[in-house]
Amino acid sequence: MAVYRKRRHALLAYLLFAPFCVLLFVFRLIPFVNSIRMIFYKWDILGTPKYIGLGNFTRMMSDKVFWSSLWHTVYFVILTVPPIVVLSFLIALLINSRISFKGFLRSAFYLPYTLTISVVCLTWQMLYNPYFGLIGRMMKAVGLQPINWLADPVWAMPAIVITTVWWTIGFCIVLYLAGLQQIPASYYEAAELDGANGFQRMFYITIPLLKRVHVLVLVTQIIASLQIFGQVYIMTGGGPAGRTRTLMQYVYEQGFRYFRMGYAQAMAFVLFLVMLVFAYLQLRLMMTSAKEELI
Amino acid sequence: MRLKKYLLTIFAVALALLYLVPLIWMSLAYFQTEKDILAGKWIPSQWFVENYKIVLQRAKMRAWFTNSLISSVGATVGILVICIPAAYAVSRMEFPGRRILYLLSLTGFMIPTPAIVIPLYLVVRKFGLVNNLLGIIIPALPSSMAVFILSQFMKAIPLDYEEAARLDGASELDIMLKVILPMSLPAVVTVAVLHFTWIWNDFFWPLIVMTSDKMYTLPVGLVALAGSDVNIRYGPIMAANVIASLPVIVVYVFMQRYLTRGVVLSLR
Repeated sequence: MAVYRKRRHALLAYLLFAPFCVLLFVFRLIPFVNSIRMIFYKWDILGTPKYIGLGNFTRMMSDKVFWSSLWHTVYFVILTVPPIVVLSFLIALLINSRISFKGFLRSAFYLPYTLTISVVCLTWQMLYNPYFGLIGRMMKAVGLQPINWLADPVWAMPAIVITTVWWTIGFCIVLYLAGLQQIPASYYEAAELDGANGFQRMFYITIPLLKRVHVLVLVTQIIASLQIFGQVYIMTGGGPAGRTRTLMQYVYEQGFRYFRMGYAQAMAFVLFLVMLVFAYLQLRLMMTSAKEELI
Repeated sequence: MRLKKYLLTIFAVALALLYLVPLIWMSLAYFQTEKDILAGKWIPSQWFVENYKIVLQRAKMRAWFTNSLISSVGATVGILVICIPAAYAVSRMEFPGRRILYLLSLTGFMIPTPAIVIPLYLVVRKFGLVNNLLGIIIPALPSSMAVFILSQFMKAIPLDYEEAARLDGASELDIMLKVILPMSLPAVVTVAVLHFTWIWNDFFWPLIVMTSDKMYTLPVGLVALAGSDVNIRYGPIMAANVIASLPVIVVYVFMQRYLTRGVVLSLR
């Protein structure tokens, strides 16, 4: 190996890494540094930026819409993440049990995840339509009063949640299936010999051994849900009466409709700080697996 | 035991079909007239293929489709060209600072696009790439996920192969392109499929970068179409949905085997 540790070798390595590195700096790291600088300025994109210190933050503190957007984001995460984790785990268990048509089932549950957010939201918008939508008609058929889901202040957010769960669950099922397949069958055989019932096998083997997958699914879904934008933008536009406006939706409105660049970025930065904890967890999770790989 | 298996299978298939109802409904609405849809029909009273024509004529579907295709394929190819050498360097070469560069390549995980949306938009604007497909392609190139998956895979390839090639007089570049790259094909396909679908399906960034409706990608165009023209709401929108979904579904069907492997890979 020593022969190859020459200067030329190192130079080539740097050259191979350089294009990626330059692009990473220009489109990730420098914008990130700028994002921290921008939050201290007031700027309407046309004139010159004006330094206002912590002005954007004091404004945020007294901005009721900011607080409600932050709450709607958290509310969305609380409503979305637990069902995604539980349902994808249960469906993965079902597909992994002794049944036929595994290939079909796996594809069927993965299919919605391959759709673009626009297709998903436009389709569900029609399903939710109180006049001819499928859901409304089904409610009528069982004698219930149809809900105007997306226009109802209480039901609009749950409607977006249902759509999101339906859309994303497939990816998590694939993660769980991959995890389940890595549990050695001998564990279950041994447990069976010791007289463990299905319930015990589930709680003493399956669930603990999938710890890594649980954490991975949980963390990636929290990160994704905190950034929720498309579903709200497409299905409700933040309405009715701002009841589904999330933080990214508000950032978009402030930044690209009213061109309050500094204020919008300051709010995006708050979201970044919230996400940082989870992004760090995700990175650490990936790094530990990478380390095992190195040994 | 047998009976239990049959019952479970029936239950699972029923559940899957129920889960797919929105998609089945969407595909059927594709063939329906507005009247059928408003009447809440499932099976079209006559198989109506006009929706497809209406959507192609009235909307800028063709332009959107082309934009989506160019930006997704362009970015995917670009990501491979940029990230394969970077992943090779950090995973298979020994040089001072290797670990630092490896960590650096993963920083993208910590900085999601929405967190830096405004400065990123300003950079793209500075380069004159607003309302330009390159404004979608170029910022997508430095993908931490791509470098991570590729380097993970390359690390696991035994040294013997490259030592044998070295004895035959192969240069470092030969080894990268002719030994390691062909052996990393599953990881390359995984990266390609993942990024193609992500960019094809992305809504947020194209919405910000594209300012004229001719330059929209399909996801942004579909939403604009649904919001703008009340006359072509239901059937044609569903037709447009089907058109927009097909490429990714086709890619998925052909690459499914690789994709699962890639997911397993990122789990290890």
